[in-house]
Amino acid sequence: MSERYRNPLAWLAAVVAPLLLVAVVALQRGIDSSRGTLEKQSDELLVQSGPLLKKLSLGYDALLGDIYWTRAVQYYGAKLPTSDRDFHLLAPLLDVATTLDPNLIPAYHFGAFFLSEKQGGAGRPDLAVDLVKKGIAANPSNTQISADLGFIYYMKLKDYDKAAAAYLATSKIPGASQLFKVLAARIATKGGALDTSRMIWSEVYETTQDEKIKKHALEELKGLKAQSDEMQLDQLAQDYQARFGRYPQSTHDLVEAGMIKGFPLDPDGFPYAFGPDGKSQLDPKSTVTIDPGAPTPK
Amino acid sequence: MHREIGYLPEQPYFYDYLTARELLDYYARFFDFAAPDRRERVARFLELVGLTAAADVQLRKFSKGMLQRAGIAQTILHDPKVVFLDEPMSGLDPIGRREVRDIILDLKNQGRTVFFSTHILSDAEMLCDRVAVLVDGKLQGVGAPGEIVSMDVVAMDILFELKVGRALPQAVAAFTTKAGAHYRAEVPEANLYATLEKLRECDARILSVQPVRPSLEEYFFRMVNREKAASHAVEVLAR
Amino acid sequence: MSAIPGVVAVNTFREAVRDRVLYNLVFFALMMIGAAILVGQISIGIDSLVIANLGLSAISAFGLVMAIFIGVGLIYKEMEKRTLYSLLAKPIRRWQFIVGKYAGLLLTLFVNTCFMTIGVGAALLYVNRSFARSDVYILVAVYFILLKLAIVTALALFFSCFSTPMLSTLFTIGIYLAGMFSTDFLNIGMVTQNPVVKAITRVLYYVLPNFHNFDVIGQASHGFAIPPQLILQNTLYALLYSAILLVAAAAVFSGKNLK
Repeated sequence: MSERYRNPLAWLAAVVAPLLLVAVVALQRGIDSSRGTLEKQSDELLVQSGPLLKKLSLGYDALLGDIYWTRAVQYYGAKLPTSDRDFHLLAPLLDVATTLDPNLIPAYHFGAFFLSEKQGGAGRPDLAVDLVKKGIAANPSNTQISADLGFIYYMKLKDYDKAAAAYLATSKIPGASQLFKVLAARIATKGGALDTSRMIWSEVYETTQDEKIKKHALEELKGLKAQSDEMQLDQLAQDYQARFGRYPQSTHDLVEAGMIKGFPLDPDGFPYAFGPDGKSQLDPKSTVTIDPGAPTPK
Repeated sequence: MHREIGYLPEQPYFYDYLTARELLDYYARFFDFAAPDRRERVARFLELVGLTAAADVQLRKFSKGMLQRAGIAQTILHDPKVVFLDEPMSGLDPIGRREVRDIILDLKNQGRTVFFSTHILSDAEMLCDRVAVLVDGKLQGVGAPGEIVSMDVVAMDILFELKVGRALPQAVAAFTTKAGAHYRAEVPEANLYATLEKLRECDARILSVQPVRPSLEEYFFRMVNREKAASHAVEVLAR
Repeated sequence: MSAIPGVVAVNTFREAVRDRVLYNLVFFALMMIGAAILVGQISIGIDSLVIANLGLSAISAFGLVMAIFIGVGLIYKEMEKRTLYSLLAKPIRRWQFIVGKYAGLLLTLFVNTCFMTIGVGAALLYVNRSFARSDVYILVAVYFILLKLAIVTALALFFSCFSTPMLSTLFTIGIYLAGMFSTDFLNIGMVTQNPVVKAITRVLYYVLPNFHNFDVIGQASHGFAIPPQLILQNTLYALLYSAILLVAAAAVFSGKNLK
């Protein structure tokens, strides 16, 4: 054996060090759980201080903004699968991120949807409006966030006048799509309508670069299709009732009566069902959802 | 003025990440030598101090003696007429001291004036043409070592050993000390032969007979109180 | 104007290289590679923005650390290790020594920054597949960082002439922070009623080096244009401020009795 291997201290260290490391890991876990409540509180503290943070960041505010944006995304992603629907830190996090870097477009865009959204978000369209307005002020030539303002007013706040105004403002931005002028006009005259909603969600689906928002838009479009289908089916059910004196029990009846060709399926591939009152409904196994708060005509 | 003198501080540190050649080249660049001249000088003075073999080794790996030699090389590479060396022998082992001593003598033979300071009086005696003795910062004496210290013989020193069983003669014992297994007697020059005769009578074996001359050290201590002896510098000139 | 400061500068640079200072580039490279790969994974829609922000912030941070920690030892180390004595016996004036040391550290920082900039460029290329015209502003941001480092180096060098590395570091960092917040001093002055405070804060604002002038990381990473006159003004500001500090350093050093 060479000299090196004879050194007892080295052997001792080789054995003891991994044991100590394991102890450290276990200890860290304990510390993490003990600090659990502390972390929650410190999150609150850290988040409220946007302008101060910008000052303290000594010129690294842009990078810090990116970090806060990442935190916001992770905060949202972590909370979403849980039953805890409390996204109360989302708005402050996004606010800090955009204070640190006012040109963080993706943050405004994200906030427009997930702050205003009730089912998968904070359910605070007012905060969404604040954030997006801040974004427009700092980025006046960006069509996406300008359109997002219109979206919030139309979809979540049902304020059709403001929505039309927002879309009109968007249409004036150089390079903006003609669609916004069309939307402005439609909303101004008709208020909430299914095809208007579909146009808006389609536009979002086409232009967004955020995967979550794209997925969300797709869900909404599916829901709108189902809604439109159901409206048609309800009408047909009334016609059936008029003809045969009872409501159809399933779409099968309608096909037999020759009123429709082929079995209508919802965007998820499930057949529609009929309730006892003749109202069509989605198959319980379907994952399509219809937004109950959808905009309605003026 | 800088061109005429060279200066080596006490215990010089150098940039230990440089090699000896790079160090000399660095210092040489402060003078306006043309590049080929500079290169030649660097090589020449490395040769002079015996560092050619170690020229491309980093200074951090040099022994103290080698560092001292490198220091001397950078002191003289611009051919100064006068060279100041502050404690050039300090901290060196016997090999190093010999090397530096030889170089100082070389410099002297090249016609340069070398000023160096030292605490080691025997070095001064050995190397210097002229010596200045300072005590408490005040000049006490200047001159050739031989001038400052008279060359008169003060006494004779006899080293001898006794045969087993024989005792030391009474007359001699008074000025004899034991020196290990031998004896040492110090007698005035006039009494030399009488003492030798007494020793012959008791069959003592004579090992050596030497004249005792005063040394620079004695001169120095004569200048200084015993208590103050430890802390003084002696500045020495050599021509 | 002889080449003597240049000789000292090259030697200072060589010392930094042999001291393995440039090894920090390895760490930097690893960081950029990691970031480039990571941003793709977590996909938050701002890939090249993060690369640019991270890269520029790192160039600034690494540069500052280097400028301060090497700068505070520049003169002090030579005094302490007594290498200075052999040096000053040569025909070199004290101010030439100061300028040479300064130039040497600046050269080191410049080389280091160049390598880092190439690293950031490579990472951006990896993420974006090509360069956009607006990426040129990233180079402007790097240039501003270099200007900032020129002033910080001069500061550190100045302190190095008369104070220990520990204290010099504290002083330099202190003035850097004060310089970053100098606009706030001015604001305090505007808000307060007290005329003395008003006067003091005004003086402070103009006397302290305003490092905020050089902060354009956010703009550069977003590709926003940086006004050309700002480039000229900042260059002059850095030149002027560094010159003042170097003159002061040379004055202090010339008067110093080296024991």
